[in-house]
Amino acid sequence: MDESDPLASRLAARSSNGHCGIDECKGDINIMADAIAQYYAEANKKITEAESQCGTKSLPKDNPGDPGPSKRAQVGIADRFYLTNVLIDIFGPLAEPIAHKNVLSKHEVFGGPCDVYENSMNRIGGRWIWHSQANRCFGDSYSATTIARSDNNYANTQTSTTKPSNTVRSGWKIAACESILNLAESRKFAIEKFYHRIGQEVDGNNPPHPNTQSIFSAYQLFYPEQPLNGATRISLQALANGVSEPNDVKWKWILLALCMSNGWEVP
Amino acid sequence: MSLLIITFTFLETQSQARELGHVEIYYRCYAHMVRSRPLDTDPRLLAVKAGTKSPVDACMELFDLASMNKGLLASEQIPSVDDSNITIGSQIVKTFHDFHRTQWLQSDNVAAFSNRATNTEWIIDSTDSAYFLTRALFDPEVEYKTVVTSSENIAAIRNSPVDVPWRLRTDWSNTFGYSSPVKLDEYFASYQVDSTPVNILFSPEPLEFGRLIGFKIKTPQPFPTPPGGGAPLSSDIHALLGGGAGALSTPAYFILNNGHSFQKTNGGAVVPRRWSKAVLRDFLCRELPVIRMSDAEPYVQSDSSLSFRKNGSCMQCHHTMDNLAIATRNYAHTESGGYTAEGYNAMQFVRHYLPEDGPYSGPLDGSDTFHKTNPTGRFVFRSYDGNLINQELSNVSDIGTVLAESKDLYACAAKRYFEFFTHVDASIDDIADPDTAVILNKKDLDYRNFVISLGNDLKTNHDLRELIRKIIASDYYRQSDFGAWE
Repeated sequence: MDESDPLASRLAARSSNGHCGIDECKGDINIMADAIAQYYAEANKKITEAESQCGTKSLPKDNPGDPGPSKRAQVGIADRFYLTNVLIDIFGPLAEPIAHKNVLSKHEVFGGPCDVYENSMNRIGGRWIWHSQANRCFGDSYSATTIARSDNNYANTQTSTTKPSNTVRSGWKIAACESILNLAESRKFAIEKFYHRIGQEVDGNNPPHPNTQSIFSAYQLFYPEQPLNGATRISLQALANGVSEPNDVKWKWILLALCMSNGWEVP
Repeated sequence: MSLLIITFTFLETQSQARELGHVEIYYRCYAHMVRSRPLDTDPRLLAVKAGTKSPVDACMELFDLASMNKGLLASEQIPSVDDSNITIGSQIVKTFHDFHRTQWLQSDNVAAFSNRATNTEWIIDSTDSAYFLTRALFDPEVEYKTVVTSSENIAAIRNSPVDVPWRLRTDWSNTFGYSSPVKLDEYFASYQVDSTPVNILFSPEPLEFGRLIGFKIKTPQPFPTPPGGGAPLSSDIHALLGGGAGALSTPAYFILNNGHSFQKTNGGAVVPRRWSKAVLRDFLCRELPVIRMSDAEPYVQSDSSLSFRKNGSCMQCHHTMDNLAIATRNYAHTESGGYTAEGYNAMQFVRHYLPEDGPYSGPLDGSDTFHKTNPTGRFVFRSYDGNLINQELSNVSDIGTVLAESKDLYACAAKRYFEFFTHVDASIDDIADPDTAVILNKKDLDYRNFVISLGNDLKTNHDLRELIRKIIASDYYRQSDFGAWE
């Protein structure tokens, strides 16, 4: 084991607690996600530090004409609407409830304001139901006890259209990716979609072994039209080659890695 | 292990700036405007892929799905139009309107309307200032300067799948913690008659709810006249302040940015300074101070009883914001309401005092009659190019006129839309101020110069669509990092 590797050391720690063997831990999506979430916390800390150097209000005195990078540019991470739409686009309609629960309903985490003037309710089965989940600012249903007038729901009307990347955001996104990929039908939808794009009609429950062409197509589900560098392609291929599971499970790992990566959140 | 390597690789890839391909540019503008991805069958996407359409043309075709004709989303007016185009157009309107009402106009949120158990948000639209921006962006017949010069208030036209939204709002009352239903369509005009409070019930026209599809001139809503006659507290609760200066003069903008709620302006300690700061921030993209120390020093008043008027560094902010704020002196943020058998019901509104005392000639530091004097003021700021703007005001509408004649209003619009598309906060500050802390490097000077050139063009043509096109067609938009690291 490479002790300098943070993921490997975390897996070993879980293993030594008797939770599972290292290899078993690697096969446990929850353990992997937990370790990766910790990794993201560290990575995001670095990003935040880098972003803070691009602050906009207290600018350091630079030499005019300094050819360095902009100090006023910020990373534009997409809001909850974009993330939800992309997840549904890739994984199909069955992913919608999960994307709504883990992303769309998290105004304060992902950004994207609600608008009280877009809200409307329908009376269905004796209960008042918000007509549009995407637009609602308030709680689940009409209730005298669940929502107070001073509730912070109103604050959601002014939520920024973008929010910085942080551990909480990564955590909710990883949770969404995991839950969606645990649905066989959502995996099937995505697999059939990227194979269709390269002219192959396959059964998403029993797809071919990942190869260079299909991995590139899967990559472009998340990164449309973007080049796939050799290192990433080899890593994705190794991910498929490293497990002795049915092909749809190999694809699950590849799609999970892609889903958890954060580049596709920055259009 | 491989997952870890991949995440590292993605971070690395992301940090490597490169020029986007044509199709990538279309994906990017689609994401920015629609907050989604185009379908594989999107005709513009297919045309860009086939090389028969430039990405800029495709992006502008997309933008045009949100265009408005005589105040209404054009795609809504054509019965045979593809449903998906209506949806996309409506989504684009929502994206930009969300941007206008939250990132651009940073007023206090709608909670400020409801903080005294009132229901003002259902009568006075807390987002109405943003409608001026959204209308100017999508209606080609509306010039950009109307955002600050319009003499008419506007309301949203919305499309709701629910037939009776007003009735629903009435039923929402319990969601706000009331123990019994309150009729949100009935309000009280409260008056004192011979020292006895008298409440007159009236029903203002309700707002529309649902998907934003257009704009209309707001119907005047007079306040009930007092028992026994006399002037009502407000001749029209929707009337723009001081003859009208568009977005900055709506009653909602005044209420949400007031800072001295339920007080009359006295010309001294009590003037709506927060409103002045909001005007500078929202329409000049500037934070105080906006004049130089040398500009403020002549206005230091050593004999004033107000400490901030005795100090040059204080007056660097106060000289601008106080002189701007007193143009609103005839207005006060107030409330009217009362109890019924069903509970307390009230609304906030802007009370208008007709000037009756001529020019103010009272004490130096203000008086109790200040709010009834002529609403003169002064708009003082340094333009981004260092020129001192110093113009007298005779009412609020003059503020809009000064802004419309400045270069800064248009540079501010360019800055906001450039930031929307690139996340670059270009500076349009007075960087020639010898005391300023803002010294830009070459890259940030490039951004500033680009935004200023866009603003100058906008001042000439008032065409926001063209401004958007220039941003999307720029070298910055083609770069994966918008040119920040090149």
